[in-house]
Amino acid sequence: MEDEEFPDEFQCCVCLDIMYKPVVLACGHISCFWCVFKAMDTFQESHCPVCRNSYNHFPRICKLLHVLLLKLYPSTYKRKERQVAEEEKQYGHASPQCDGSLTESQFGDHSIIQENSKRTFPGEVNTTTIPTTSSSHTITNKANDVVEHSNQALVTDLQCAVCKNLLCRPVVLNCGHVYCEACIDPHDSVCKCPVCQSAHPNGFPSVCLVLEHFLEERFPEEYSARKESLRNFQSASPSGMPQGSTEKQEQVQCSPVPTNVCSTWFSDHGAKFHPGVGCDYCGMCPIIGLRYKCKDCVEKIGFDLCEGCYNSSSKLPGRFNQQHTQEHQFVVVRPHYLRNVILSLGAENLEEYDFVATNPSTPEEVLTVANLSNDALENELDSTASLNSSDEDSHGLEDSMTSPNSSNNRSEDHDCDFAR
Amino acid sequence: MLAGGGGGGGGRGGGSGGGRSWPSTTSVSASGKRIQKEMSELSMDPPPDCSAGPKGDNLYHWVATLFGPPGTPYEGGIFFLDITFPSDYPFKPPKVVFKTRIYHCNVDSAGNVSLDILKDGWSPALTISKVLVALRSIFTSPDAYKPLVPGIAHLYLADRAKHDELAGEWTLRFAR
Repeated sequence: MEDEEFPDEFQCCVCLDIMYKPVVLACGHISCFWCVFKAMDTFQESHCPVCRNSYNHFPRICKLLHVLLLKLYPSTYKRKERQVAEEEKQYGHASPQCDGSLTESQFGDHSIIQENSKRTFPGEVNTTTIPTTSSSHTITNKANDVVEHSNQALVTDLQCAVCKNLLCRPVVLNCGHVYCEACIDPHDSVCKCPVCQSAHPNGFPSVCLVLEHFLEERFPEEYSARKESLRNFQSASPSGMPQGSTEKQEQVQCSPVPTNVCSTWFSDHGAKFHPGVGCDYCGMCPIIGLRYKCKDCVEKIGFDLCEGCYNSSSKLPGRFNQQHTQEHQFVVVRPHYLRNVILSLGAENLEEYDFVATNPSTPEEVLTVANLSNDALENELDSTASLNSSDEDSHGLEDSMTSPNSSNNRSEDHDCDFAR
Repeated sequence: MLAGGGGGGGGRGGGSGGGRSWPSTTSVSASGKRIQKEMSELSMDPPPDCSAGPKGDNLYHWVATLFGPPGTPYEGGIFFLDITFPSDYPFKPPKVVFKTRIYHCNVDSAGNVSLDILKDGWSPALTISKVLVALRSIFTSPDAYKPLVPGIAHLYLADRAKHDELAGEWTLRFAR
């Protein structure tokens, strides 16, 4: 099969190939699922590869973009899918399955909402979008019909779930759902996804410019009409809509982590984090505070929750196709303050440490790191005291990390097991 | 979930990936594909005054050449560089070493370059072509405030004419 040419804007900046299972960061930049995952920092907040905007939550796949790319460039996308499947087999982790139509994927378990709303608003969709399409193409030759047909199909894919119109200034939330900027109303200082109710961390997301540019190019008339109507609506009711200045304010208000976290991250969170462990619900990485580790998930990548997600009642699937069920039990893992301090101080000098703590191809080792008990910590202290003096010491240190079998059992006593 | 990478944009162990090759999630095929893509893009749209490509059969070992930009004391010189890609490229920066001797405050006698984007400032969105452009820019404007060779930086700031004369001499002697 011949690959279709795809425009540069749909090229992932990391793998330089078509974006596969695209993930949209809060700054609006897009990358592949695995590219974002692999580029994330395990010790502190991560930075967008394009703009270096810091983030500490791994967003879910944007199904809308996934379906869009699959429809626009099917053979290229399928080729990439095969490549990624091969790579996934190699390192034994799976990315979330997402296929089928948009109604299934973009709205997932909440297809009922979508169906209901579809039933109530079908007229609106027709009046606002499709007539403009047909009026714009007065010359009806065969090729045009095809374009028009596919455009109409796309228009329904590219609707905002709130206003049922073509997306305008699209923003992608942490959960991967896409809305018009104006349709997201951050109340109680947190933006919540209207469909899946999950909160979007760190304030208001930026407009996804790649998607906006695509909408502008593909549906010029509809898009400018949408912009115009939005402008009229905003000037008619200036209080309700987030506009330039107020939006900026909200961004500051609803940000649980300040935007200048870059320099202050470590001093703010100190060592209360779990290096290399992310939350499978909200995507927080590394998990700050208590970590709830599933005892029953057999997948190598594990299943972990942060405290907030553990206490919430959400029932989302894991990020890597883990077969996690409600019956599974959790273990609380407390962050090891001292170890983390040592890790972050010693990281520059000690590659072995880096290796053991961050290398995901040996997750067992990562787990044992997380399970180190205080006994092992003392060993660490001894060895870190002379970190730079000789190679031998650092090897000893590595040993103390990779074979803590004796200390491992003891650490179980520290963790309080309980059923959920 | 257990996270993988590290060193994304400005990460703390950014520079540690170079020399040793740990097993990693980035399969060799993934980094190889990316390097191949960069190769074809470089050949289609090369940045001005430079070239780069694999040394031999090994895709992870490149040689690059930079021409001293006109208007600088390095004008007329041809500078060879060795580029080594780590196995988890592009999540770790490539290692760049000058093979041609150069009188420059950001390049030491062993050829090591102090360039922010090759260390903590690395981002997986950067490519070799962008690295070459950045290297070219230190020819025209050396960063004397973050020097690798303080002596040269001092001379650059104190007596620019003398610095340029010496740099020109070195270029004549080593880079022609």
